[in-house]
Amino acid sequence: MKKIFLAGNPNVGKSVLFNRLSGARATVSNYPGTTVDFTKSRMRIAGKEYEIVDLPGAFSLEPKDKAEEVARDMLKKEKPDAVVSVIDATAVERGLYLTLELIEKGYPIVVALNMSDVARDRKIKIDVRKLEEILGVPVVETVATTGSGLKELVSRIEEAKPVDVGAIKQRAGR
Amino acid sequence: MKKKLSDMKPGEKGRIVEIDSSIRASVAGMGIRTGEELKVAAEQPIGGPVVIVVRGRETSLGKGLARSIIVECEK
Repeated sequence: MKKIFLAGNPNVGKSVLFNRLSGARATVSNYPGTTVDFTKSRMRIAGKEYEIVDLPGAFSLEPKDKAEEVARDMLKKEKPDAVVSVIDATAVERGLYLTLELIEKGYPIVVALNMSDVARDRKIKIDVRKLEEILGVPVVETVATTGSGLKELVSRIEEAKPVDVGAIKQRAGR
Repeated sequence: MKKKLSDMKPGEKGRIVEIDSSIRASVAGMGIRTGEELKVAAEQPIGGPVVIVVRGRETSLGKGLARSIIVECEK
């Protein structure tokens, strides 16, 4: 069965997104030897069954606490078929750090710009097409609490693919 | 005046000038990098974490990490 992981900073709405996607039939487990827990469930996309895992919140793959260590280890060990990098649309710069780390490590990524309604209310404008063009991965605006954008996100999970960081730098003009 | 982040008091502001190389990568993901401006929002008792605001975002940092960050403080 293909595996989809949800990764992102703490408090970006990852778990709400997870509950939406999985329909809340989840099992909570402790990572062996720790008190850090992660949630696992299954979902169907176009008739196919997927395993979906909600990783502990992390700012970086260079761990400084147990939760980040578990997130990194699970990614490393389980080799997901796709990672949904959940970014708080009101703090894109901060969320991109983890996203770029995930890309650098070669994980196939889809970006969910979550809480896009809050960003809009705060007059934060995000050029989604441009971001998608530079990163070379699907970027979808979502509002997990209402379910907005989730259909598009799910339909684009299959497009997740590893990207070369050098190519991103070039496209960003760095 | 340069100070360790762990020695700053709530309300104090400054710009990060140095981060010990051993923790640089682990705090960068929180938006904590040299050149960034920060403000101390709160300090927890008994050696608890320091709450700082960077780019309008609150983040808390353990005292150990805060000791390895040097800030040029505003008067």
